[in-house]
Amino acid sequence: MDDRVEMPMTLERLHVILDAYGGAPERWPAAERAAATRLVEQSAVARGLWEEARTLDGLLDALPSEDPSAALVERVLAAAPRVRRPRRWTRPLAIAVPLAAAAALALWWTTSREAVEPVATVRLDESTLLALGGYSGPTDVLLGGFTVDFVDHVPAVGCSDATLGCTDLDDAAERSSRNGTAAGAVA
Amino acid sequence: MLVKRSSALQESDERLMIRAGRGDRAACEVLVERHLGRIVSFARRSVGTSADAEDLAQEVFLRVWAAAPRWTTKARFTTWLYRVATNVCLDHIAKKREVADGEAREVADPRPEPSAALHEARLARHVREALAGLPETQRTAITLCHYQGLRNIEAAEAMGVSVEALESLLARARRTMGARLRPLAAALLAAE
Repeated sequence: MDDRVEMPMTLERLHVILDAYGGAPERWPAAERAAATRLVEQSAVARGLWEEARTLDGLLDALPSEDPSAALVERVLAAAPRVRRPRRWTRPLAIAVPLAAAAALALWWTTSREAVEPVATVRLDESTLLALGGYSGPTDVLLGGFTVDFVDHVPAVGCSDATLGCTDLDDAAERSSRNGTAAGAVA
Repeated sequence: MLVKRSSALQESDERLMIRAGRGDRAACEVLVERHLGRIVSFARRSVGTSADAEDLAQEVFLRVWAAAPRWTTKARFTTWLYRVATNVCLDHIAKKREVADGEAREVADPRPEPSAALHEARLARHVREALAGLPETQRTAITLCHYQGLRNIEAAEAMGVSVEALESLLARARRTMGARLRPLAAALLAAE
């Protein structure tokens, strides 16, 4: 019988319950317990069947329960699972092994690192740079997209290094006077 | 972390099994206290002798400890425990069948005894003999439901049968026991 469904109680079903489970309501199927109890209370025939079942229960209960011996309890507990603890001689190893592994790792890390050399080093001299993109000078790279004539617009700051595309001081002074800019003035 | 005994007493059987699987001594002790005696009683009623009952109960708990490390809370411990106990006892009965059939059963002494204690002891012997005379499945059914207190669903699951089949086994067992015990009990009462 489904223990979760409330079933209507009949004398026939009560007889089956008492035959199988006896007279103790706590042993009856949970879903039928309340209805069976009500029928026993309301029906004399049901009460008669219930009393007969209880009498047999009393006879069955004459059989005592067995207590386990102390020796059995001890044997059972001796076989119970135990927490595994490391043996005494393994405890130093449990500390030393990880330390040794860490030291080996540190040694490998420090000795295996080398300066990363580029696959190739190419130093471009000025002539090569100037040849790139058809530019005439480093500042041409910056000013090339703006169609600015850098020669006329580079302030005279006294640069005399021809490799940098600068004019000498005399030329700078001349241009400055032409453009109305004070010689040496920095924009 | 070990569970103290006081807190272990409040734990469910399922939680205790999980802790027992981790080697928690307190959990193992509480499980033994709760169930070992009942398993001994179950085995005693199933196989008939106290010595065999203790050996079988020990076997049942060896299986409990073996299962503990992989126990999950989804499984109901009591139902599983009695399924194991049922199988252990039935296996034992099958192996001892020839010896069990040859065992001399005590004959009930109809003479009245003055002592109430002796009266109880004789009645107990009658009940034990009547129980031993049942077919194995009927004996297991009535032991699980009447003596061990399992609900019908739990007992059916432990035996691997339907609830309807369990009720049929119980009804037949009780009718056989009643037919044997009522006349003996009446004779004992009449002799007092």
